[in-house]
Amino acid sequence: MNLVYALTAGLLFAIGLYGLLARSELIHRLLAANVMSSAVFLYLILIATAPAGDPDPVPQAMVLTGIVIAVSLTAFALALLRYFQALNARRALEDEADGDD
Amino acid sequence: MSAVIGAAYDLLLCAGLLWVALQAMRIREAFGAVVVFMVFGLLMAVVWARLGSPDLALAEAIIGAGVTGALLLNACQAVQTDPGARRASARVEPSPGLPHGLIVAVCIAAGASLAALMALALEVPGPTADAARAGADAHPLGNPVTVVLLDFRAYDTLMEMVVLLAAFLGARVLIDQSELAPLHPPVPADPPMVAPLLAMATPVLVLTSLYLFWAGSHAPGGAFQAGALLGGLGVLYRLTGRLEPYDHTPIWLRTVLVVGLIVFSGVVLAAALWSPWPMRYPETGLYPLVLAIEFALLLSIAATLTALFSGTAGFRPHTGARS
Amino acid sequence: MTEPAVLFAWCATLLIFVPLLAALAVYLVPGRRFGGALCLLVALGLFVPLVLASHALADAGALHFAFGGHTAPLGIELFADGLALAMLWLTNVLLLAVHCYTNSWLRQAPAFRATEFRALVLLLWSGLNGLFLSADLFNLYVMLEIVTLTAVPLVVFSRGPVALAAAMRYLLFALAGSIFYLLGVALIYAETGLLALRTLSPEALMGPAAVTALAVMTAGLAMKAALFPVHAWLPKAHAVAPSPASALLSALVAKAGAYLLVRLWLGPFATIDSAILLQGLAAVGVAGILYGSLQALRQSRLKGVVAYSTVAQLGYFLLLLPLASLVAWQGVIYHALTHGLAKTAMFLAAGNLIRQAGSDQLDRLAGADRFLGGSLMAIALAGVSLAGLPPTGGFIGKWWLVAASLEAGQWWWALSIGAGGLLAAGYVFRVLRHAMQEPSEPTPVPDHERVTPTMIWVPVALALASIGLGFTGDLLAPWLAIGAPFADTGGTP
Repeated sequence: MNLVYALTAGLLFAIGLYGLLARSELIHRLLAANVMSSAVFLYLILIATAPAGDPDPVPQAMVLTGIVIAVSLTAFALALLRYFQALNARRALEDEADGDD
Repeated sequence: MSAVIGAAYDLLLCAGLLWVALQAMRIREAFGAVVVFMVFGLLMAVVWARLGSPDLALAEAIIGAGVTGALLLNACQAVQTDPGARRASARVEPSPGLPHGLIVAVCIAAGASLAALMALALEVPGPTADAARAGADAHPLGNPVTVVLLDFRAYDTLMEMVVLLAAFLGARVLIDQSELAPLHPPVPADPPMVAPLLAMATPVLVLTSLYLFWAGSHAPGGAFQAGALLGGLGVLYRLTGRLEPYDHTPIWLRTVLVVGLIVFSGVVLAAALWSPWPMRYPETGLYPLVLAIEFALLLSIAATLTALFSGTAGFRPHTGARS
Repeated sequence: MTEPAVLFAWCATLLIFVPLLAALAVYLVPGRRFGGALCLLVALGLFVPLVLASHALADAGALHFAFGGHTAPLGIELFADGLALAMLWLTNVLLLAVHCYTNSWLRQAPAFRATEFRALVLLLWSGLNGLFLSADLFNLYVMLEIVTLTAVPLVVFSRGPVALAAAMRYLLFALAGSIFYLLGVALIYAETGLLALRTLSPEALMGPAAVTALAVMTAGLAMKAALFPVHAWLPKAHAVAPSPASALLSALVAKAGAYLLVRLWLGPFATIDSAILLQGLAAVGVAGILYGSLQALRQSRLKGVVAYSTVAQLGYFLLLLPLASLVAWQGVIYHALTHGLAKTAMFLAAGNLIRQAGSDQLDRLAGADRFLGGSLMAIALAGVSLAGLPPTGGFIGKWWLVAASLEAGQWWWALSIGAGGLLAAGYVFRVLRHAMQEPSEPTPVPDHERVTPTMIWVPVALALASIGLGFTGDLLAPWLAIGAPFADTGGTP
């Protein structure tokens, strides 16, 4: 059964890669990067649970660490996005002021 | 019979995962893509549970789908409220500018080869796994994942807290430069039902968080899940105006943001008193020490996630009557 | 009483945790003067563990230890050899210089968020030291992320749309780079069940999964190191960042990726020694040297020239792969040291020009030699070292690389190194020529208040150090050889 999940992990990575290459908006590329990370996490958990017996705790710990790092990166990227919006808003206000003259 | 149902379930889950991911990549509009991505996060949590990793299922449901989703929705909401933001979405130039057909071809090739490779390399020879399992069996903490996170590979966990802090510091600088009105300003009056619902949610979330924290040493759970859950409560308080935006980071908040790192680093260095190796726990008293570290981490994680969601320099409890 | 390994363990721990704790202190205790003083104190104080660790290594050879005493494969090990030691020294010297400079620089920038800037720089420092010392594949991933998430915010301290666009691009490249690296880690773990570099035997890493892992990790790290042709983010980000941050990004952060590439290719993957592959990678490096230098010749801004020069200079790292000898190893490290010193000197001096002339447009530098003598001297001296003219440190590094090429019978790399040096001389002299021109209009009255003496002597001292390395080659060569993956074949040094 792990086979199906392994195939899924590989394909998920490719789907994320597609989003990263084909889209140009920051938020979409961010989602793409998150999908790619999830694919790697899925693969790590598969190799942790594939053999019979107790799962290997090391990849599980790695994935937990990875999830927190992914949230951190996403949060910072979204702060960048907000700054982008702020600059745009400022530009829009300036344009309006110009239009009034 | 149950094996057949299980296999069908797995197949459906994988197909759903792939379809949802593809949709998240293809939907043009940011809000739609974000909502679909949140569904993806929830499906991942189901996958983790299905694969026998309840620790991860909890983390993914709370952090991956919950916190990330809240952050992403925040970004979408900002697009709808800020003047001028609508007219352009943040493009990162250059988008590689490759022809679409080439991108699709590259991705299909990469996907096929990776999928084949991953399907073939599933039987792991386990020197690390064996050492970790053996080590965890003899360890005073019962949950092997917690043992790895807080003892064998504690250094990674500590450094991951540095990543979280750096993300907040970076976001803090950007918030300061944005000079936008804060998202979620205090609301003049609660809509009906908010107060009773929060009154119910608060003890439930706090107790669940404390349970996850306490259980983490011997059962699924731990500081990260517990901290993220408490951060979720902070998000609720921010949304309903019980924590109000504040234009600087008060000292108590700064202290909570870094307390996890201070306690953890303190233990690393204090090991000089009882061991030749840094980050070695003392023979006796490991359990209370780990518990202290985890509690400090929990507080820092909750505060950092709330602050990141808040999108302001800081926050403080709402004071005085609502006017 | 202390064994070398234990001494090394505590020195390494201090090198990582003292900057980390200092960052927390700077963040908790407001006040610029406290922050500035603490940064200088940390930079000076860390020379103690650095000297002790160097002596431990000199006595015992390359050393490693495990946090908590959990040796591989269970726990996380740190490791140092001559290469790691050189990078740690470089980091400490540059951070000391940058902190000195920043303290003066901030005095004229009251609106600058000094607390967050210092805290991020200190965290970056901790991350770099941790990265140079780490010997664990997954821990390296975490350290790479610390470096990314502290380096990208440094770019946006320069406000405005240009900085924002540069930061977004930098973040995306870094993000993609880390995911590729992490995929490689997962594939290696699947193949071997191991994470510690020391335990990964080259024989176990010959299967298709391991080869794919090497490929994706190389791609990911090349993005992080901005190696040609995935360098697109570097020139913009390094040119737009505040000058002290530009210096750190160019001299240290970009090298972190290249450092890891060398570690992987010469460490666990040393058995993948297909001549075509290695020659091809070095050819990509040479393409980067040529492309970066030609672009540097076309820039209209000083910081653009210096940033493209970094793209060029990073290419030299890849020459080590086909040459694979002790002399080449020492040459590449020596080149990294001189480049770090020279590049920091150049960016800090460029910061002075921006402060005084109001811009770093090359065509507005005319007449700058009248009032910016010190800063221009720093650029000139650093440039001479970058171009590799004798008797500078840059010359020694390039000379050893040329010697290694000839010894290996691969004379074409010697030619490329010569061409790279000539081009570097070209873009440095182009800058100086602009500065020496007679101004067409009266020179604006320089504002001496804005550039303090410290801000001039720091880059001059760094440039002089970069030249001074030209006289210490014989002295340092044995240190660089500690734990080198190649036996001493009696080469030049």
